[in-house]
Amino acid sequence: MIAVRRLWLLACGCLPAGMVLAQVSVLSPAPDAVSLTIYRDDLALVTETRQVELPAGEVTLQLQGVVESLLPQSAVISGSGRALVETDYRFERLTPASLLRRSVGKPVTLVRTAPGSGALTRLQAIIESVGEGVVLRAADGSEAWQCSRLPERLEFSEVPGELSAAPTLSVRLAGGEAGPRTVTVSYLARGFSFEADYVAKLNSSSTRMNLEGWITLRNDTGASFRQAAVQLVAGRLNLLFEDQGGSRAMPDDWEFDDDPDPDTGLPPSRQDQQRAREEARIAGELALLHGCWPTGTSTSELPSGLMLRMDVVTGGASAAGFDDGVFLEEVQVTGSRIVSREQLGDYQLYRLPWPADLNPRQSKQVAFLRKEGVHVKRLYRVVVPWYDAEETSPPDKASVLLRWNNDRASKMGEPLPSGTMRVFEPQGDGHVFAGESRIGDTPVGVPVEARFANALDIDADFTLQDEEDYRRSGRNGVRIAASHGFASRKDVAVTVEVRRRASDGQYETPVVVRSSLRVRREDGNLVWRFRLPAGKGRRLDYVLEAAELRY
Amino acid sequence: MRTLRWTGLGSLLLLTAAHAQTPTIGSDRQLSLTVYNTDLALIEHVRPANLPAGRHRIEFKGVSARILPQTVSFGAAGLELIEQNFDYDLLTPSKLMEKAVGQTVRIVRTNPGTGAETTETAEVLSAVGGVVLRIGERIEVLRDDGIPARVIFDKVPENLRASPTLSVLAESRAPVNSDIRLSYLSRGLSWAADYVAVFDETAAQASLQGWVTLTNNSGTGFADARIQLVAGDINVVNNEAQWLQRFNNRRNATTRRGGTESTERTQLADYYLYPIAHPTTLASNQTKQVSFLEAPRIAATKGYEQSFTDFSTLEEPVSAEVRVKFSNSRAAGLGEQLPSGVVRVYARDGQGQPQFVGEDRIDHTGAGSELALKIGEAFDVTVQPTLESTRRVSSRRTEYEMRYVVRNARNAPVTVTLRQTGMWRFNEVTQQSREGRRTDARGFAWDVPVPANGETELRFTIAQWL
Repeated sequence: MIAVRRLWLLACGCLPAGMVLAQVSVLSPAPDAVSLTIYRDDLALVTETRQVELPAGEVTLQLQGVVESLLPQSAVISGSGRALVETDYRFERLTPASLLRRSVGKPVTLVRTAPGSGALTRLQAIIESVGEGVVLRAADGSEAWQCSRLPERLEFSEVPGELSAAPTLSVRLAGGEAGPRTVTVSYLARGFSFEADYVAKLNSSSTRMNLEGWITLRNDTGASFRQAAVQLVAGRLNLLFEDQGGSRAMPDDWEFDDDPDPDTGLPPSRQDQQRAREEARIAGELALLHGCWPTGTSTSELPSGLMLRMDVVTGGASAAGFDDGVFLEEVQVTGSRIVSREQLGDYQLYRLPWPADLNPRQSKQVAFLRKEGVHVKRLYRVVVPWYDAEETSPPDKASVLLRWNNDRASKMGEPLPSGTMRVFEPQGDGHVFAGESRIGDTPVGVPVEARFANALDIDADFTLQDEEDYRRSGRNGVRIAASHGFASRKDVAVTVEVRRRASDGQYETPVVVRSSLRVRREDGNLVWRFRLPAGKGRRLDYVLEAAELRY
Repeated sequence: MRTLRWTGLGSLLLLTAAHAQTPTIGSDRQLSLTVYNTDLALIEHVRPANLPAGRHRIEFKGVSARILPQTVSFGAAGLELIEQNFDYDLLTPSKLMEKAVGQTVRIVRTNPGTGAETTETAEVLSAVGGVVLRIGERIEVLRDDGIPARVIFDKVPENLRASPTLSVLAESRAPVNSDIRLSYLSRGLSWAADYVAVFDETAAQASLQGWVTLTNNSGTGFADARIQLVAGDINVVNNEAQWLQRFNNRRNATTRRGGTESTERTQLADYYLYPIAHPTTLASNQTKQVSFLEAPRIAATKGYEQSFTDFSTLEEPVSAEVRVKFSNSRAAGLGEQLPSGVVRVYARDGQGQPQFVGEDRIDHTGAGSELALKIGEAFDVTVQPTLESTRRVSSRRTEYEMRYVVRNARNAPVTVTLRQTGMWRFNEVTQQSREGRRTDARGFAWDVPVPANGETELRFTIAQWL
C-alpha cells in the first residue's frame, strides 16, 4: 500500500572524490506545451509538458528554459515511468558582481589608460581575492584594482560556466526501459499576479446597472510563453513566508518607498519594489567590491568648505544602473470573448478559452463577467460613531453607495473576486466617471456595497443637543439627544441612511428613548432610512440612553 | 582522537619557517555530512597524510566557510596537535595595506600630462585613515596630490587569504602515513522536508509525496559526500533558525492529536535518521531534492473552521478557513512519521489537471498523529458576526448576545466549526440556538450545518464575569 523509498542511487559510491560520475544526460531545451495558473499572490503554477527520449539506465534530464523564479522545493515531475532520485536547481544571474566573484583564481587582463596620452597598457593578471575590493596578482607583484585613480578596467576572456547557463532544473531518474516519454513538470514560480476590475454603468434612475468584469494578469518575470493555457485562481490561499519554508516572498523592506508612480498614480507593484531592492543590493555589493585602503589625505579631516577634496573615482558603482527600456510594459487587451469559470476546491478558477502568448513584463486584460440590468439601490449614508468625541467632530459627509444582492433575483448571482469597481453615470448619450470603490471577494447570496463617492448635493449636519449622565438603580449611564439636518439640491428624491454603531465595549447596547423617524437594528447598528425629497430638507431627532459597562 | 579548542588568531605568526616542513595532505578520501534541520551540520573529512617526523603546519583547504572553529576535532595516529588556527583574515586591498606597514612597496606615479610613469620605493608608515609613506628622506601621504599612483606589493602576506582557512600545527615523532580525520560543526547547511499532497475531495483521499530539500549556503561545495539527515529538535543555544521554526510550528497548531505508533525508521536517540544511500555532490548555493516518502492513498477529509476571539460586529462577512484533515497512522494508509516541513496541497481542476490550492507547515509529527492543514479561505463559505446586545445583568456579570450568519454558496451542504474563544475566567452559555460544546475553560465550539446555496443562523448568549 505504501512505498517508503530508501534514499538510494544506483550510481556506484566508490568513485574517488572529485571525479564526475559518468552519467547519461538528456537535454530538453524547451517545453512543448505550457499551462500557467496564476494566483493573486505573486505566484503561478507552471505546468510544462516535454517530449523526451529516455535511454535505458540511470539518466539526468536537463530541463532547460524553466522560469527563473521557480521554487525548487515545489517541483513535481511525473510521466517518466521511472523512480525519481533527486532534483537540482541552480541558477545564478550574470551581474558585474557575480562575474567578479566567480572569476577568483582566473586570469584577466587589466587595461589602463594613461591620463595624458590616452595610451592603453594591458597587463595579464590573476584575480587573487574578491572581498571588500579586488586584489590582482601580476608578474611584478600584487595590486589592488581601482585604487590608483588611473582609469582601470578588467577584461574577462569568458563568462564563467555557472553564470552563462539558462535556468535549468536537473532531474535524476533511476534506470528503466528506453523509449520516448511525455514528462510533465510542474512548479511554483514567483512574479505573476492578477487583479479584477469592474465597470458599472448605471441607468438614469440608478435602479439598474450593467456590470463588466475584467481581469488584468501580469507576467513580471523574464520568461515568455507561447500558446500557453492560462488559468486564474481567485481565492485566498494559505501561503507561508519563505523563512518558514513557504512560497511567499518575504515582506518588503521599509526603506523602499511605496510612493505612487507619477505617471499612472498607481502604487508600485511588488515586483517593482523587489526590483528596486535587487538593484540596491547589486549596487551595494558592487560598491563593496570597489573597496580600497584608507584614502584620506592630509586635508580630509580638516573642516569642509576650506578645501577642495579630491574624490576617489569608483567608476563601476554607477554601472549598476539598468536600461530603463527593460521595464517598459506592454498592455494587451483581448477582444470581447469571456473566460469560463469553474470551482476549484473552495476557490474560483477562470480559464482562458484560447491559448495565449504572454511576453516578459507584459500585462494582459481579459473579460470575465458581463451582467445586464442588475437591480441596485442607490443610498446616501452618514455614519456616526457611538458616543466618541462627538461634540468636536462633525459626522462624515454623506457618502454615495450602491447596494445590491449578489443573487439571481437581482440578475446577478456570480462570484465577484475582489477588485476595484468604477462607476459610470449616464450623461447625454454617454457616461461619465462617478467614482470608484474596492469590493472584497463576494460569493453568491451575499449583499454587496460599493461606496464610490461623497455627495456634493446633499448637506448633512449634526448637532449634539444635550448630553447628561444619569444614575438609576445604582448604575451610571449617559443620555444624549442629537439631531441631524439634511438638505438636498438634487432634482430627484433620494434615500438617506444614518448608521450609528450600537456598541463600543464601554457601554451597554443603547436604548432609543425617542426618535422622530423609525429606527431599526441592522448588523449591530442603529439604522434610520428615509426618503429625502428633491430640493427639500428633513430633520432627524432622537434620544439615546446607555448604561456603563465599567465596574 | 584528540579534541582541542580553537586557540585564537595570529598564532601562526609565531611559527618560524625553520620549524615547519612541507607536509603532503591528500584530498578527501571520505566526506560525511550529518545535516540537521536547524541550520547546522556535522562535517567529517578523512584525508590521507604522508608526513615525515617533525613539526608541521597542515592547512585544510575546502572546509566549510561557515565552520564553527570552536567545534573542530582533529585526529590522526601518531600526530600530536599543538595548536589550531582558523584564519578569517580575508585578502582585501585595505588588509593588504595594513599588513604592509613597516614594509616596502613600489609606488608608480603617472604624469597626468604626458602619461609618463615614475617608480619609487616607499616604506609604509601608517594605513589608518590614509596612507603615510616614507620615500627616501621624505614623508608624504599617498595621493595627496591627486595624481594617479599605483601601489605594487611584492608579495601577499601568507595569512591573508581569499577564503577562511583552517590550519593546525602538529608534531609527530615518527613519519606518518595514515588518515587524518577532521570533524566540525558548520552553519549554512540545512534541510527541510517538503510534501506534495494531491487531495481528492470526492474520494476522501489524498496522495502524499515527501521530499528532502537540502540547501547549501555554507559558501563551500562538497563533492561525493555521504549524507545523512537528522530529524528532530536538538537543542542548540542561540540558534535563531531553530527558535523561529519552533515558534512557527507552535503558532500554527496543525497537529490535532499526537501519535502513538512506532515505525521502522532508524532512530538516533530521540531523533530519526534519514540516510542518503549514495555519495552526493552538493555544490555551493545549490538546492537539491531527494525523495523519501510516497503514499499513494491515504484517507483525507476537508473541513471548514473559523475562530472568533471577541464579541464584535463585522460589516463584511469573513471567509471560513479550509482545512484538510488526515492521519499518518497505518490504518489511514501512511504509518510513517513526518519530519517538520511544508505541505503543498493540490486539487484537480475540471480538466483533471492538478492545481495548487495552498500550503501549511507541519511540526515533526510522530506516526499515528492527526493533522489539520489550513490551506486557505473559502470563497463561497462565509461567516458574518453581529453583536446583538451587551447587557450588564449584575454588578459582576455581563451578557453578550451574538448572532453568526453562516452562508454557503456552494452547491453541496457544508458544516462549519465555529469557535468562540478568549473569554474571561468565568463564563457560561446561557442561551443557544443549537447545541454547542465547551472546548476548554475559556472556549466553546458549535458545528453549524449549512445547506447547499443557503444560510444558517447561529445565536447564542454568553455570560462572563471575573
